[in-house]
Amino acid sequence: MAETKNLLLRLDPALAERLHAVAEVEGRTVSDVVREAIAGHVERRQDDPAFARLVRASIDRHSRLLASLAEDEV
Amino acid sequence: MSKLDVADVAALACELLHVAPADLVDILDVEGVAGILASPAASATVPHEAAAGLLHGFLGQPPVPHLERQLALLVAVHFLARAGLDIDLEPAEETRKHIHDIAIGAATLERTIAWLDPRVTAQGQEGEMFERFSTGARHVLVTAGEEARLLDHGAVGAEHLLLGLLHGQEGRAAGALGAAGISLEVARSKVAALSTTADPLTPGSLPFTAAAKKTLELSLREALQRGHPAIDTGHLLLGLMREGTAGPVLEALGVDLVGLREAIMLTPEEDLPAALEGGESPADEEVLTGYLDRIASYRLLTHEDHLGLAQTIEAGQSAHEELERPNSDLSAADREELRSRWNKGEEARRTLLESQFHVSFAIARKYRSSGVPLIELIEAANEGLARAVERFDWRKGLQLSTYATWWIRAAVTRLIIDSGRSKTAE
Repeated sequence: MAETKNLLLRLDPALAERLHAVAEVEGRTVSDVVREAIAGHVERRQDDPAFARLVRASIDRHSRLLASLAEDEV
Repeated sequence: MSKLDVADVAALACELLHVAPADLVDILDVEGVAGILASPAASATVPHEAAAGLLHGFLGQPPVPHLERQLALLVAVHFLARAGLDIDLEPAEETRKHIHDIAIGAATLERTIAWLDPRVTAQGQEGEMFERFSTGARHVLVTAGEEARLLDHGAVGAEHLLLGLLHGQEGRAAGALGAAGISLEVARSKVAALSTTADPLTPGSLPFTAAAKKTLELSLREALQRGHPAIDTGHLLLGLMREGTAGPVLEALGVDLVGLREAIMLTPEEDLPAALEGGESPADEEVLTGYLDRIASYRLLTHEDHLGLAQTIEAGQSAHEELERPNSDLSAADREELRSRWNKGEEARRTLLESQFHVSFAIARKYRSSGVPLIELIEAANEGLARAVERFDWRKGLQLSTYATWWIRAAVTRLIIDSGRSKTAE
């Protein structure tokens, strides 16, 4: 893990309790469970065919420009 | 506008970095992304202004290390694409330089808005943009294409959009143009004389010129700036006047542009497309959803297609009469040939009817407040349409939609009157 960032989560007490319970049962940290939930949310977006089609079209159309911008990244 | 959320941005970053979401989560500043997306600059009503806000937000506070410029650009492009808008980023070096200027704080938000303005246009009939058109405005786009074909022009320009607007029977643009004394025939001859469209005519649907795309995008701005989520014919006309491409035609027609603009502004906006409106009853909503799905699957036809189909129907009718004539001494082969012509005629009638269902639907919806259930209004409208197709004489040179409008409206108002009578009798 290159860099991590602390995230403050405000949760309903019952939900926080369930989160801790899940983490405990599965033998993982709360951070891991939250991280997995966010990743799952992003994966579902990636799996949306309309989203995927639009992104592919945008990347293909502007591929040259994106490649030149990659050279400028610091 | 279609707002982006954190998952959109994260998924875009995954695409650029070729990493799985689980790996991105560790390096993504989720709160930072949420803050940028919620910022006033990125929430601007006008699409290219919001895109500028996104560029400045993501370049000013990069949420993923070493990915600031590509991600900022892709987020802005994706945001516009979701709204059915296209962005021209050529020449690439100029875009690269502008993005560099934003990243180092050398370009203001206002400068970026001005830089994006001429680069953002509508995508045509493919994206979400088209869904934002009122039924009347969609009809204008179709008739604009028919007008371009009629004039042997290979692309739909802003001037053809003006002709499409003049076709409208009930739109506020048609009303304002009619009040300004502009007729379709005179405008068409001016367009033919002044048009510079040089594309060759090709089969299939015609592309929009850059000026027409810009007009559509400006129409969207006109609608959004007035707090209206849909583009109606009035917004299209305002967009045309802003773009100025139909200006020479309007000037040649001696139109007072200021007066025309005022006339449109004073007329109430038209109905929203069903997808953007929330006011239907549950029963009507069900009818709308199923029916819209069905009519969306039917092919839209050109004026030439209508003429060809009307001739096939006529040939089919005469074949049917021949078959039905008593004491005819037709051979089995002749009868087979006539039956085939009759079948083709009936097929053409179905195609012609289906191509006009959007017209009858648009008219039926205008009478929703009559108290008659929408499904009954649609049925009556389609009966009127069937009569219009029955009686349509292709030799008279009329547009089928213009001719059908009268029959459809007559059938719907007859139903409403009869329904009122039956209620009184109860």
